[in-house]
Formats: sequence, C-alpha cells, structure tokens
Amino acid sequence: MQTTRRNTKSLVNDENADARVNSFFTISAILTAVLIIVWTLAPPADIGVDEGQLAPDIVAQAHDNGNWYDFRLYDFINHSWEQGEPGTFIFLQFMDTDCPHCWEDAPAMESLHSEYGTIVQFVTVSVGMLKTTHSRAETVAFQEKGDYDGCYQDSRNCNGRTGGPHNWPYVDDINLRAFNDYNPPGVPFHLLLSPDGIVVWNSALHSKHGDPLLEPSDAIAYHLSESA
Amino acid sequence: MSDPLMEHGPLVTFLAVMAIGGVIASNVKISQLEEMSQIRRRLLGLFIIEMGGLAASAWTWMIHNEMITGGSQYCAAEGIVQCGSVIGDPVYSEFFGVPWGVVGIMAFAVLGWITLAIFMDMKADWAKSYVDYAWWLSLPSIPGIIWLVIVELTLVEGAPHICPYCTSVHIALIACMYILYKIRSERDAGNWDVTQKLSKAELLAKARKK
Repeated sequence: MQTTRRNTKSLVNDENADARVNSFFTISAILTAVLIIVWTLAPPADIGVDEGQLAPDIVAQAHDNGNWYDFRLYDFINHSWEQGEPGTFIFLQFMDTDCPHCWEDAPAMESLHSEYGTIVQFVTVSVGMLKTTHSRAETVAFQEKGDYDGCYQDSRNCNGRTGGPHNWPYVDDINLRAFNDYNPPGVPFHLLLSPDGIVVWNSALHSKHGDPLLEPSDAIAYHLSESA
Repeated sequence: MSDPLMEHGPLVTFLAVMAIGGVIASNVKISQLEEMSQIRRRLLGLFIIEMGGLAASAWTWMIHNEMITGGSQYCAAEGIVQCGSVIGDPVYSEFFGVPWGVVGIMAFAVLGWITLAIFMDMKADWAKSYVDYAWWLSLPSIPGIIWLVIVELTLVEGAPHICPYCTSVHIALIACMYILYKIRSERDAGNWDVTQKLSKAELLAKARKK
C-alpha cells in the first residue's frame, strides 16, 4: 500500500517535471541559437594579458606634468592598426610605491624612457597592492621624486629613490581596479602593447634566465624592429 | 557611418515582436485565440515579449562586443539617440564585469523558462506558485532600469543620451512586470485557466461556421 502511494507520488512528480524539463530544453535551444548568432556576427573580444590578447581597458585618473586628468588606456589604441603601419606601442608598468623591487625598477624605467620615450608611450599604473598606506600624494612624490615620507613600505622618503623624475603618465590604481583586471603575479610587472592594444610581450612569461626577451629593452627593440 | 537597415531594422523587429506579444496578452479579441483562457493568452503574450527582450538584450551585447574593439555597425555612435556612448562606456556598460546585455539575456531566459513551463502545464500543482517566482524575479529590474536611465541621462560621456536598444529592453521588462501583475491578480480572483463559456447561440453559430 505504502509502495503504491510512493509510486503514485513519484508519478505525479514526474508528470509535473515534464513541462519544466520541456520548457528548459526549449529555452536552451533558443539560447544556443542566440549564442551562435552573437558569436558569428560580433564575438566577445579576447581580453587578457597573455600575448596575443587585447589588454583590458584602464579607466582612472592619471598624473602627468603636475596635473591629474581622466585617463583611458583605449584612447591610446588604434583598433584598426595593422602590422607594418605607423603606430605607437605602449609600455605598461604596474608598480607599488612601497615595493622595494619597484624602487630598483625606477631607474631602469627612466633609462628605457630616455631611449624609447619618443616612439613608445610609457604608462605606469601605481597600485596599492602592499598592505601599507597609499595615497595620491605618495604616487606623485614617487613619480616626481618629491619630498614625502611614506614610500618604501612607509619607511623612507620618496625623494630617496634612485634615478630622476618620471615624465610619463602615472595612473592612480590604489583601489586596485586595473590591478584586478590584469591580475599580475607581482610588481613590478611590465607589458608591451602593440598600437592596436594587443599584448605582444608579458614580462611574467619571459622571466626565465636565458630567455632572449627577458629584459624589457630587448623586448621593445625586438617588437619595434618586427613592426617596422 | 552604419547602414540604416542594420541600425534600425532589428530595433523595429524587436519592438514589433513585443507589440505582438502585448496584443496577445491584452483583452483584444483575436478569433484564433478564442479557445484559450485569458490567463493562457497572457502567458503566451508574456513569453513572446520575453523572447523579444532576450533578442534585444543579445543585440546590445553584440554592440558592446563591437564597441570594445572600435565602433559598431549595429547602432549609431553620434547624437542624442545613440548606443555608442552608453553601451560603449568603459565604466557603466557592465554590471560587476558582466555586460548588461548578458544580464538581460539571463533574466529573460529564466523568466521565459518559467512562463513557458506554466503555459505548457497550467494544471500542474506548481504552476500557480511559479507565477509568483516570475513576479519576484522580475522585481529587481525596477532599480536596474532606474539606474540605467540615470546613467544614460546623466553619467555617460556627453550625457544625456538615449540608447534605443536599451530602451526596448526596458520596455520589455516593464511589460513583463505588468502582465505578471495581471496574471497574479486574475489567479487570486480564481480565474486560473477558465475558458470563456459560450452561450447556446454562440455555440450554434460556431458549429455552423465549421
């Protein structure tokens, strides 16, 4: 008797499930058709930081020449650029004013800029990755080598870093918005973008000793000569 | 400059589909649907509107995908009535990293699944309660629509702008909420799947027609 009741109940449940399952398959078929159309006519862009992917956009405030202004990475990008055409490559650096390795990287960046600054757009993204205090004033002080106590894990004055002032845009990413989009393995982290915004060199992928593109200067020289 | 047919054709189609759904769900007499109960008609109309909204959402996603890599041929990028500045906005065109078009597709797909399931088996014991699920699921669209209209009119670059495809999706959502509200009211009034009873004379006339 109990078995019969249970069977009847399961039958009722199965019958009830029918319309929902049929509806599910119908909607799945419609969704599949929609996805095929979207992928055929306008597929989503392949965005990421691997070489060959379109770099994520960065929208934030940037500091350069003493002013803060609205910055958008894609404003520097010509999406229709093709190999061999004139265009400006973009060298992107992620750094933290409190990170000792970023202090060491500062003079290297300056020397790269002095060598390629006229033909490559340099952009530094100043992130608040380390659990130390960060501020825009600290970013500006690091960029301009200004007088500000709080750099280098909050233990040194920013004017103590080696090298001179950096004359290229510093993007404020203390809130880690761009950092999370790019998800770098650490800082400093470098990317070279072709004029159409495609990542052509990712420092994390060339970190092994003996890699011919280990050094940023080698990577820039290589890709500039490739596109010429 | 985009092709006017490519730019406006789909919009007209989506709005036409939604209008057809609206007429079916309304009280307008349609001889082909006479045998259906009022709620059944409303469910059919609701489902058609949802599919129109799903298609319009997919279109906004396509525009979004194109805007990332330059301009879009599917919608204008200049003037007050345009999609470029709204769907192509780097900050406001996404909801926690997900394009609004994808959010719309998912919302209409879930609503469509519930609506179609109820339509297919109105006598099932779950059918009446699923109307409530659809209703509750549609409610978050109110703050969503309000927010997106604020974004269009005040926050995007060069505001105010009106994105016609986004507006068509908003219309679909509002229509869905209204029809769901009507269905719930009629269900609560005890009119669930009640076919219109014809008089003897009407039945006779119908038989003669055949």
